[in-house]
Amino acid sequence: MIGVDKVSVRFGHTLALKNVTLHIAPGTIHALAGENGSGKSTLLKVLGGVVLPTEGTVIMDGKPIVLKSVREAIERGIGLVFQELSLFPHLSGFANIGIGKEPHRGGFINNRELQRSIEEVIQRVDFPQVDLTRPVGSLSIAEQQMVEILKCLFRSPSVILFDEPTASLTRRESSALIRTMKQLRDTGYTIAFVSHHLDEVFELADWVSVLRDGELVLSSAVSNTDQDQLLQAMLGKPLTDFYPSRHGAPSSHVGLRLKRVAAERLEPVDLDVYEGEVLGIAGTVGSGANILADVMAGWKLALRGTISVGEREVRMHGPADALRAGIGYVPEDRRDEALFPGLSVSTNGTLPLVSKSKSPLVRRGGILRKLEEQRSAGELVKQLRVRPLSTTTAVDNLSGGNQQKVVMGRWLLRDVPCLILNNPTKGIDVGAKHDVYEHVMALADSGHTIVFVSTYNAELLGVADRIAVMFKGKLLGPFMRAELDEERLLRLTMTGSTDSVGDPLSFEGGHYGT
Amino acid sequence: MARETDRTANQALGPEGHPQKIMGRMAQFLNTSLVAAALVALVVIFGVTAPSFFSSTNVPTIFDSVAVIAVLSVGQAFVIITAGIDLSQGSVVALAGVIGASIMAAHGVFVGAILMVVIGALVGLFNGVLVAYTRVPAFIVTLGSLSMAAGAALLYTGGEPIYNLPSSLVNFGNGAFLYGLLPYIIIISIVAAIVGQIVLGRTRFGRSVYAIGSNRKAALLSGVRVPRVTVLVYVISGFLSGLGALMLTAYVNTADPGAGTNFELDAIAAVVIGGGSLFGGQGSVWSAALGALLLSVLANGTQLLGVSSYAQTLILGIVVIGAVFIDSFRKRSAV
Repeated sequence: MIGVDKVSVRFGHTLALKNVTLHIAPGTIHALAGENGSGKSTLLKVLGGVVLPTEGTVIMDGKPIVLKSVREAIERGIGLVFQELSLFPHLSGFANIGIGKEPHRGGFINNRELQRSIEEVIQRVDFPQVDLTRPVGSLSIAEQQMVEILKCLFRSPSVILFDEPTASLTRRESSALIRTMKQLRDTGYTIAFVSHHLDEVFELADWVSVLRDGELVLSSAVSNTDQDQLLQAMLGKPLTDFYPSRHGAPSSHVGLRLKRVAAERLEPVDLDVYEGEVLGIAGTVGSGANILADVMAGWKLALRGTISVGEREVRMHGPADALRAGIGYVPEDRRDEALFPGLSVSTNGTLPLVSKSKSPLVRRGGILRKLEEQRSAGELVKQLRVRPLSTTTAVDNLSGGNQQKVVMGRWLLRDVPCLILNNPTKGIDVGAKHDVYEHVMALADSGHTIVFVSTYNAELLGVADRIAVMFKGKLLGPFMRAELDEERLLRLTMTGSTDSVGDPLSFEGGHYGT
Repeated sequence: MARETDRTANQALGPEGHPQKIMGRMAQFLNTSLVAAALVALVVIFGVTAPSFFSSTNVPTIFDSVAVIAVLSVGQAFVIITAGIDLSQGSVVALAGVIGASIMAAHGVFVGAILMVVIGALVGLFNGVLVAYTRVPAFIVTLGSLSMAAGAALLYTGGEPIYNLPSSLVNFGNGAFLYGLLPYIIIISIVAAIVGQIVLGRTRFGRSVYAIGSNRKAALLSGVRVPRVTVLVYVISGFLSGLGALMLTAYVNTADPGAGTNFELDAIAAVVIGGGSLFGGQGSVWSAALGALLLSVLANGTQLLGVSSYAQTLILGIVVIGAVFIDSFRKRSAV
């Protein structure tokens, strides 16, 4: 038996978990559900020794224990399978599973003995076939996850924790994983998992606990509850007037058109986004919303279909083509894909404009107009309320929110008719969020075509005119904002069921009157 | 450059920052001129301790010894700021030198000189295309072309140096302004450093070089022509290596297929001492050239003080690591 007793976790000023007491019965599968930021992943991390509780204790077999590290958790028989796999891509499956635990003689690894003991584990739990002789980098994501699970099993745990195990898997791969998890339970393992999909909870779990704002609000046998009850438990506070209001309205001109656009793990998408519209795209992590955003920005290439800006089809071979056609992108991963660390706020903000052909910031012969550049950067900093109010400081010195404003400001300086925002408020503070929303609204009011991708439903309901939902690689909708509320949107993102909102086609695919 | 940026920023932002302006400028000056300060310190120390340091024969010796490395370090700075590296510089100096020199007797100095820089640029093109369009790392590409160019130089000459070069070339290589204090070839280095710094600091191309080195993905998403800029950077490095070949041939009055060995390592050290980061996105041409001068002054001064050449090599190594170590503590002003 494992559980937590009166556990609170504080990160800085926020309480991620508030006085949570929860017991997981041995030999069962326990689902942890909740919205983004509800604390469900934190709870899993407390159980796995990743996060040390600020107050309260972890309980194992009736006794309080202290887990200072993942290593300690493993030693006590608690295994954690992360969403981000922690494998060595160049090593074989066998080597990955055995890492640090290899049977050895005189410092030499006994590979035959290692293989034998791994195969023993596989047979014991009737594990699906995975080629463990190949470098794991050459396996599919689902197979890599199996290796990760085997790695966990090899350390002979009694409890296995899964963090969003199906998030990056296809539908078929997910059902295979679900079968495996059930087999593990039937062999006697205790399993807890975090999920974004309610249908999985009902298919897989024996017991479900719901968290909201760090508090445990519901814990029940799955057989004693239903989707509606879970959704109600998950819903947070009512919408406040945190979101700025629109002054304009979408026009009837199509600004961005996707025709049968398909990519890996993205089923064909038909979508019209109008000038002056904020189109929200909802979807949990791994739903494919990310992929759709990357495809629209030319960052990932579509396998089929066409993307048009206005009336003109874009010949998309990379982000440069998207940009030339007038599609700007604010990627989700700021650090990795958007910022230029070590370079100034000014350079960070003006580069897209500088690299434009016939740029107002560049003289003939490629010489920069430094004065103009500084003036543009100053304008960006002022308009988006970037703090500190300096254009020469390195962008590294800014907070996440201010960095994001600089990234968004690029597309203010290089005016693009279409803007794709991928989770633009991720990891930024409330004040900066508000500034981002205001900026987005102002862009839409001035006739820009905006696609706003987010895993955070409340903000989509706050800023979008229409909202489409990605569910397991498929686009549902778009639906008019008025057709949706938090509960309906949550149901859509978590079940993919359109029952409560009706068939999206029944109101002409969410068209505005022409 | 830094001063102008500062002023215009304050203009754009209104009155704030005015009292801090002077402090800011001083901080910026100190930051960008750590190499210059170290250089001045070394000159003073050697000037006092080694009486012959400032003599009319020693000053041009220092300049002659730094001229070629300084030109190479300009090219290397471009490459390193994109987070790349060019290991082929030294053997390009050898290859371009022997081929260009071999036709000088028949076709004249000018044609030979052009041929040298063209060969340099072509090897750079080869490096650049491979780095920009394949997944082979720059280190490996240029390691390969280092070996290829060195081999080609030996094959072309049969291992024999080329003597009997036209006297006009030799006169140029050993001539000097200012009563013999300022060799002609160091003028080439100074011009290369100034032009290089302008291109890097004041053009769209230069801005793209920093952007690619700082974050390649973000550069792509910002519309920077990443492959094209990458190719061009290696072409510049190769071109300047060809120019270095011309300077070296003129100075030593010989084209030796074994010349230029390890020049690229000195150039890399110069860039790094000048604040360049091998991770890209940081560095400047001007301070790379100063870094080259610093290495040269250090070698010359320690020699005058009677330090053995073995110990000199050891000291140089310590200086390179020490410079980067000190550099890791200071905050550089951003581009």
